[in-house]
Amino acid sequence: MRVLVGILLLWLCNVLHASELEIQVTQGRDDALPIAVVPFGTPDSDPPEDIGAIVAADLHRSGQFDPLPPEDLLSRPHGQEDMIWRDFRVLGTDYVVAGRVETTGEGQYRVRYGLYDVPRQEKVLSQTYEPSGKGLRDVAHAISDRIYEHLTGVPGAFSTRILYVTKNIDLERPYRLQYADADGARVQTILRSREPIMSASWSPNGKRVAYVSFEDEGMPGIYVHDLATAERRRVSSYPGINGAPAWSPDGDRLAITLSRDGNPEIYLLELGSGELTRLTDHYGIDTEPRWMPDGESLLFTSNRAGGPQIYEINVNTGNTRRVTFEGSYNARADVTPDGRFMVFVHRIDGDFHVAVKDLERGTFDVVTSTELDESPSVAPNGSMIIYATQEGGEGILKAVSMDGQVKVELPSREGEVREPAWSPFL
Amino acid sequence: MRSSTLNRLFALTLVATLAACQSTPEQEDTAETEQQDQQEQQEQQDTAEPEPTEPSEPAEAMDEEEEETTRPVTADNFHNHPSNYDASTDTRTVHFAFDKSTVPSAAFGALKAHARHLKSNSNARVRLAGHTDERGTREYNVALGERRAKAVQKYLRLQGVSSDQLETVSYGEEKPARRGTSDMDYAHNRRVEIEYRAGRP
Amino acid sequence: MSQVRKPRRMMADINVVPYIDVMLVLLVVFMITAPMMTQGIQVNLPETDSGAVGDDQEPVVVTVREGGDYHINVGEDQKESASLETVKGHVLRIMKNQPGTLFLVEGDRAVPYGKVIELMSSLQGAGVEQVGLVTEPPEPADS
Repeated sequence: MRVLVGILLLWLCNVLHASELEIQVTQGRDDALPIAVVPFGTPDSDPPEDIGAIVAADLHRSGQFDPLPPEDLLSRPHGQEDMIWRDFRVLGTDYVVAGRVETTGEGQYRVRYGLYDVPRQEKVLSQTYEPSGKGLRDVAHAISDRIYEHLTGVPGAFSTRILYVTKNIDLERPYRLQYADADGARVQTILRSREPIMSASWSPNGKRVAYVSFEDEGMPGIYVHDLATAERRRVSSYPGINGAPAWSPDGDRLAITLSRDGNPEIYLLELGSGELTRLTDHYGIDTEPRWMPDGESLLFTSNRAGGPQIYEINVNTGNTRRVTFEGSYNARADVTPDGRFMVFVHRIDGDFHVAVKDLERGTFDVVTSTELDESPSVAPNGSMIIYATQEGGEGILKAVSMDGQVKVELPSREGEVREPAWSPFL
Repeated sequence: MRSSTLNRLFALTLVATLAACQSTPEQEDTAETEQQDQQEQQEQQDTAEPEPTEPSEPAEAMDEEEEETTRPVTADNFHNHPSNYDASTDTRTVHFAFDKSTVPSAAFGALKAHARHLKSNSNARVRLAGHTDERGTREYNVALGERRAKAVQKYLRLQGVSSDQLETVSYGEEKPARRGTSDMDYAHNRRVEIEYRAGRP
Repeated sequence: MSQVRKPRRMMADINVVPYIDVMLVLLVVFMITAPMMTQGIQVNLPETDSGAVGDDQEPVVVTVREGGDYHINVGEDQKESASLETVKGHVLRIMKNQPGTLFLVEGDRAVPYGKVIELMSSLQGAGVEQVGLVTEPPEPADS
C-alpha cells in the first residue's frame, strides 16, 4: 500500500486564536506541560464530586501544567483498554489522566486512575482508592499530588489548607478566622468576632492554630485553638501588644511579640509550662518572628537601623545579624521549608511587593507587581507563595510561584480576605 | 589582445558593481538621516510641549503662603490642621503624619481639655487606641500604632493625668476609619482615638 | 619578451594585467557554475516521498468514501462514517491545540468533485492552513 502524497493545494487562513477567559491563573509558565485530564467515567452512579475536574483545576492552578479543556478531547478513555493514543498525539498532549469512579455501596466509592505517557504509549502511574462521598475531594487532591510529584519531582501541595481572616462590615460579627482547602473549597469557620482577629499561624502538625484576637473588650490576646475539638485557650494577655505568634518547628513553643516591658520585643513562650523568655532587647520595634526550619534561629522585623529590616537571631546565643539591605522597607519574613529562600514584604517607590531572597547566594527578586501586597506565606512544598493584596479596594488573596512566573488569583468571596497562612503537609 | 578586451570588460563590471554597491548605502544613509531629523524634530516638539503647563505652578505656591487657619486641608497637613481640633473634650481623635508618632501642636488644646477633665474626675478612665494606615505589614503597624497611643499617653501624663486613668491599645491597620486608598483616606486613618471607658465628659 | 627598459631604476609598479586575467577566468568559472549549482538541486524528487510530514507531527486523514461518507482517523467510532459537522468539530479541536497540523484528504476516485471541495472548504473554514490530497500511484500499464 504505497500512498503517493502530493501537496496540491496550500492556502493561508487566519490562525484561529484561542483566547480563553482564564479566571484563576492570570499568568502561567510558557513551558507549561500539556496534559489531558479526561472526565472520569461514572458507569453506575453520579458521585457528588467531579474528580477529573478537581484534578485538572489543581494542576492548572499550579501553573506548571496546561490541562486540555474537556470539550477539546477527541475521545474519552477511562483506562488503557480504550485509549486511542493518536487522539492525544495530534492534540500535542504528552500526558493523559483517565479513570473511573464506581459505586461499591451506599455512599461508598472506588476510584481508579492512571497517568499515561502518550509518546511512549504506556501507563506510568495508577492507584485505586475506596473513599466515602465526603472523601472524594481528598482523593482528587491526593491524585493531583501524585501526578504533580511524578512529573515535576516536587511533592504536590494540593491536599493542604489555607488559613485566613475575613472581614465583612455588613455582618454583626465582621471578623472571621477561616480555613479552606488549597483550592478554596470546603470553607470552615474557626472563630467569629466583633473585634479584629489577626496573625493566624499553623502548628507544625496542622492540628492547631494560634492567633491574636481583640475579643476581650478590644484588648489583644494570643489564643491557641485545636481545630478538631474547637477547644481554645488564651496563652498570653499581657499589657500592651500581644502579637505575631509563630510556632516553633517542634511545636512546643511560640515566638510572640509583647510590649509589656515598654516597647515591642520578641519572647519565647513555652506552651506546656507557660514559661516566658525574652529574646530581643532593643529600644526599637522588634516584631513578626518566624522560625527557621532548624528551630535554632528566628527571623524578625526590627527598625533598629531606622526603617524596618529583617534580622536573624539565634535563640540559644542571642546572636543577631541583619539579613536584608535592599531598600528602606523589608518586613514580615517567611521561609521555605528547606530554609533556603526567604519571602518578605519589600517597598519600592511607595508600593509594597513580595520579594524573595536566596539566603545561600544572596540574590534578591521582587515577584509581585500589585500594590499593597502583604502577609506572604510559602506552600509546604516551597513552590508557591500565597499573599494578600488589594483589588478595587477589596482585600483578596493571590499566589505567585517562587520565581514569579506563575500568578494565580484565588476565588474571591464576600468581604475582604487577608493574612493567608499556608498549612504544613497534613 | 584578447586579454586587453577582457581587462576592459572586467574593469567595466568592477565599476558597475562598485557603483551598485555604493548607490544603495547612499540611499539608505539619506533615508536614515531623514528619519533622524524627523525624530529630532519630534523630540524638540515633545520637550516643547510641557511648557504651557508650567505657569500653573506658581498659583499653587501662592496658596501655601496663605494664612494657616484658612489654608486648604491636604493629606500632608491634615494631621495638624486646626479644623480637625477644638480646645475641648469634644475632640476625640488625634491625627498623625505619615510614619510619625509626634503629637501635632494643633491637638494640644484638645488634649489639655481632656487632661483637665481627667484630673478633676478621678473616676474617669480613658483608652487611647492607636491606628495606622493600611500601608506596611500588619504586626509592624500594630507596633507603630502603639507608639502613637503612647505618645498621646505621654502628653497627658505630662499634663498631670494619673497613669491609672490611662490605658493604651493598638489596632494597627485593623480598624480603619475610612476604607479608601487615597492619601486623604490614609491621613484619616493615622490616628489615636480617645475612648472614655468611664466618666465620659 | 624583450622589452624596452629604462635602465636607471627598477620598475616599481606591479603589473596587474595577469592578475586581472586570472580573476576574470575565475569570474567566468563562477558565472558558469553558479547557475549550474542551483540547477543541481532541482532534482526530480520521487513523488512518493511524503517529505512535508515530519516525524513529530502526525497528519490527520479525512477520507471521502465512494458513497460520499466522511471518515476521520481520530476519535472514537473511527470505523463508522461521520457527518461533516463531526469532522469539522474534530478539526476545530485539533487546530485550536496544534495549529500547524497537516490534514490529508483522501478522496475515492468515484466521489463527485463537489463532495471533496465541500470538505476542503469546511477545512478552510476551520482555519486549516495545510491540506494535502492523497492519491494512489497510477496502476501499471500491463494490469
